[in-house]
Amino acid sequence: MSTTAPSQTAPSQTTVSQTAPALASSPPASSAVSQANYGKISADGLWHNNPALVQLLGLCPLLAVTGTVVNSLGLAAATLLVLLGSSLSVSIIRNHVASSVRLPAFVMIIASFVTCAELLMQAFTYELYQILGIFIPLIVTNCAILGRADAFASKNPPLPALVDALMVGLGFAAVLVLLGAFREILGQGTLFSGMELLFGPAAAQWQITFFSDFQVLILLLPPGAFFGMGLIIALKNLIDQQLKQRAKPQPVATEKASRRVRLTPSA
Amino acid sequence: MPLLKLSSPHAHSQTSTRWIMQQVLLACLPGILLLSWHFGPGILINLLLTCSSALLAEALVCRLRRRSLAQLQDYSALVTGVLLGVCLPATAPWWIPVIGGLFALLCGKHLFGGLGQNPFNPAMAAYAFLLISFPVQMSIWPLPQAVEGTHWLHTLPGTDALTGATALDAWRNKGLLMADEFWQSDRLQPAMLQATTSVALAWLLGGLYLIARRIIQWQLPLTFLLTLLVFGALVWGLDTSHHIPPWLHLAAGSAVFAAFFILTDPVSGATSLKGKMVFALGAGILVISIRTWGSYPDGVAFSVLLMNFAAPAIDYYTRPRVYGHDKAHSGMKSGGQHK
Repeated sequence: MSTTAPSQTAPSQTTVSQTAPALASSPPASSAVSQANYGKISADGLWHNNPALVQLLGLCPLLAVTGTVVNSLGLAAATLLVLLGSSLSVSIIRNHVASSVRLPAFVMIIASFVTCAELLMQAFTYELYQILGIFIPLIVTNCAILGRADAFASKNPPLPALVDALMVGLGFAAVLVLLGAFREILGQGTLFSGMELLFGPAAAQWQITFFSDFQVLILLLPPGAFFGMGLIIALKNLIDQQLKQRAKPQPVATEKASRRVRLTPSA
Repeated sequence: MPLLKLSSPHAHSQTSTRWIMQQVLLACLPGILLLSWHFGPGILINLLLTCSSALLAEALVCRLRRRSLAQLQDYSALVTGVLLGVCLPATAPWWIPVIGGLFALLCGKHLFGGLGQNPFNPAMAAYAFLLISFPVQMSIWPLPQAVEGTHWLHTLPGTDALTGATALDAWRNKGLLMADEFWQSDRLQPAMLQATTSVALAWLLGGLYLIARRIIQWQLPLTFLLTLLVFGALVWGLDTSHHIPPWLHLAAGSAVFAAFFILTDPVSGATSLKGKMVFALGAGILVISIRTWGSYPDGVAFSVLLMNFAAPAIDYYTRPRVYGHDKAHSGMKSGGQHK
């Protein structure tokens, strides 16, 4: 799964193995990251390295339960909670765990937080917990969470790790909710139906009905999630393309000096 | 290669996309005529709607991609529209063929790059989309006009049409009835079976025309139909009182139509002759399996789509021998040297 993640995870794992013996004595990376650029962390988590759109991680729950906005919100909240807890814990213990056992340790931490999230949902949003079913325990296998723990939290102090977890979690949540809204509107013609499952009885009136007596079953079934996901990824690429084109005029002037043609595609 | 001097005489071939598509449309005619004779003008309205929405979608994509609208003249969108239109029930509401035509062209064809790039048969992709999305509207067929009082010119006052189960639908819902009890009951109108059989014969006629014109190879439909008969007979033999008899596999539903018009799609199917036969064999086995054990009464569209998935792998293992080599380099051992 990590092969699909560009740039971030692969190089970071090599640095971990190289610096592993030094980890116990002095954390080598911490001084550099102590002036961590929170703006860059946020932009990466929300957009450039979005777990759902760019890394394509955690697709299983993403595709399975985003039939409505409320399902998406429930899963997004649970994932965000687990991500925050695990990143913080991993960051705190990062200097005390040998590199050879770090992955089992991380998974144990994540599993504990998933159990917490599961019990919380059971306690406060029981119906939603039943709807989401197996996909709440399955958060433990969400590669986006283990990816952040290993690629970022295990090398950074608690505060940047927490910010990173928050931004990645919000990026994931945004895609979940967008996909949920897309499928809910086109699949059953409503928006925000069943919000009372998450926000209490007052939220029952939030439902907006666009088309009554309307159902496109395929969009509520998993194939619809693939359609929606593909369209959202295409939209992101389109926006990126537009941004790149808009940013272009400046570098063109500097590149005029050299007549070399770039043959390899820019990464 | 450009240096190679070619001298006359040249053999001229008139096989352009446009010509092939015209021939396919021509071959569809007998089937369409019989379908609309039996099931009323709804079929023709469906065809009109699927074709116009397909052409509209194609024009829209040509505009978006800043290509010339001349692409519309290759008839390929029209063929997709026709192949989808003849699959839809005659009583379908107007938006079913419109959504189908748009989906076939936009999602089935142009999202993947347009003519020649689509991994799935666009008509079957759209049919599967419609069947999954709107199961109720997609499974109501009108009774053929031979049934008393259902002719579309003089239906019973106060009704639009009488509907009935297709043969496979009736069989799927026969419950615990034994086969002979099923045939004695009135669950399946004999006229429905006669209608679908005669339509199947009309598709056969069109298919034979395509074979005579060398647009499709006879091995593919033959493999498919034989698989239906042989594998169908084997499965039927397991439980003759509950499984569909093999002749019904051919007489009912879309098997003959698919054999000649859908499986023979040159883009989404396998390439070599051997590959095409494997493709047809797999599709036949899947059709029988879905009809016997699946939850949908007919499985031709799903089988074709699943085999479209498998077509690249089939091609990989059935590469023909390259001229000058002793053996074909196919499968894992080839190491990709003939890419």
